[in-house]
Amino acid sequence: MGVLIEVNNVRKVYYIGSLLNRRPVKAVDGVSLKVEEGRTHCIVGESGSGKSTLARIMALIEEPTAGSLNVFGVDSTKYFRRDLRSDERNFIRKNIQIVFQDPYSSLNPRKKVRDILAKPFKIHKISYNEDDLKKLLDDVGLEPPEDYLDKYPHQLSGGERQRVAIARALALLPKVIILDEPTAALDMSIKAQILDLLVKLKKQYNLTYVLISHEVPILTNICDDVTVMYYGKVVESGDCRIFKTPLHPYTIGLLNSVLIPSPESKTRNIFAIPGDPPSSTSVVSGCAFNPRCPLTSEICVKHEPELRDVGINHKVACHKCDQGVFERYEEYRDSIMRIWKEML
Amino acid sequence: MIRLKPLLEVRELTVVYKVRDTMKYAVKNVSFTLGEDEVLAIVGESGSGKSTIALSIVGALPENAVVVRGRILFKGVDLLRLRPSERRDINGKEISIIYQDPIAHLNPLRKVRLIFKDLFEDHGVEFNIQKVLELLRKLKVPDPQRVLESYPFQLSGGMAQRVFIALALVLNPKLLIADEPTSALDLTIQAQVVRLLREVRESFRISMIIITHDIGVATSIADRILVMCDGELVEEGSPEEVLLRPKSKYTANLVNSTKTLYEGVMSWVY
Repeated sequence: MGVLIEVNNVRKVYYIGSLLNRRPVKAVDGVSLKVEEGRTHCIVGESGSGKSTLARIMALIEEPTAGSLNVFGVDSTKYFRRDLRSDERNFIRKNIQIVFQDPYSSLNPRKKVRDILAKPFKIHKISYNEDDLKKLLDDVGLEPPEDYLDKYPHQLSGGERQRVAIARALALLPKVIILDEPTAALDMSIKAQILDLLVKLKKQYNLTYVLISHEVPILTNICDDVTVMYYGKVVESGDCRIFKTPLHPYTIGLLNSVLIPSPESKTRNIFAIPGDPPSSTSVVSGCAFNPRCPLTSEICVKHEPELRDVGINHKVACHKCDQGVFERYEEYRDSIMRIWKEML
Repeated sequence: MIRLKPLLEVRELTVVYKVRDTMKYAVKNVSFTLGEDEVLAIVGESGSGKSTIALSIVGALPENAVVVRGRILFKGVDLLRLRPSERRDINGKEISIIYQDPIAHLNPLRKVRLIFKDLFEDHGVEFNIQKVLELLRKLKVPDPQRVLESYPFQLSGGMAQRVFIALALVLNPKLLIADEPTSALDLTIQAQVVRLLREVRESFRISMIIITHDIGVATSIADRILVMCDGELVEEGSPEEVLLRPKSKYTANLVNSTKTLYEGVMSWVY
């Protein structure tokens, strides 16, 4: 299986504040990852972790401040310098599509569904007919399609709008679809439907997904590879087995914060990672998680940990994790949770 | 089961929204009671009418909403028949409401201390800073003195949430309503808020109504769960009953889709 998108040490810095008081915000701070063909690559993190910025960079909407991407074998710096032949450029544009989080603001309110779906064809000067549009609506489960073609977005429910957004992304049969929090704004039962739809489409059209989400329970249903982000950096990455044996204390804490609906949940203790995530402009020396981490020692404050291999397809950026940790995994995990629970 | 004395009784509440020339039913003939010290969760999807119920109780319905029928009895007094001034006396003192976005609901121009002072004065209660400090400490706000001298935007998300809850609790209300306290929040913050609400319930004698679309949140905190669909009450029961023996088809579907989504998680939470 080939690598479709390779992200190499990408940084994105925004500046906020007035002219005289400009402060940098490192939204993405040295991220590397590979998106392999036919997989669902999930990027997990909380608000402010930089995951949406990364999504926009991977969709080539946003130019990275430093570092580069390799998209279908083409260097992104060429793309941003407009050094590409137009057919190469169109190939890239056509094959990476994005679905945004909020289906209320990502569809033009003045256009009918018909026009929204026709737009990708028009931009790429590809001929289409009404049957193509109907087929798209049919694919995303909006039936009967002819009822939807002449509707405006405001006449649709949230779930239906997200389906239209997915249909639009699907129109040109891209290789990669980047899904930026596709279910965050939806109700529980609709989330399940959209997820089923995504799984179906992936099989049907042999798609590759990059799924950005903070809804851990939901993405465990669909993910193949995972990248966990905290404060602009990758703290842990690997395949979906890392949900079984998370190593970075942040990932362990995150997974334990899920509120599970069960008859016992009322008597169960609720766990929450103590402390707050760092604000976007604050500067944390060493590991960004050290103020909240139960394992923090001197080295964590002084040196920033590198992302390194600790197992087969499992990388962690933590000074306290090494290969040996798997041998005493439960002890390791329980000790972290114990210290946290005492702190609470 | 001990029969709890009802604090709040909602009787046949029906609320419509006027949208241009048409009437849309938001809440249809909903009745329920809330006992003293009881925590009730109202679960439903968007448009189910759950927030309209909360807004009816605190008298904050938008202008185009009309209560066409029903009564909301709080300690035997019908809240819907009160004059605005009487209403204001009750809100904040007897009944408080918190929302998910605390910073948006705190006056950005006033320091936290002054926000508390305003609240006391609005209700004709002498400002008692000791009481505020004590409450903030109880809610585990580190360095409460400094927090009181901060503006809302200087507080972190978690701190603002605590201050907001402290404002809701400081006049010892009998009823706290939390309108979607956790939706759109990150997982870890969501867990923090639910923890906090649980602590509140343990250390204060207070009844709560939690409005949420998340069954996970509801079962983590509520004694009883109401499920709303299209303005109607379709289910009422304990968390066990709702999850294991749902009576309505709608609830069964909701529980099933949630279970499916959480299937992957069940195995690795310890």
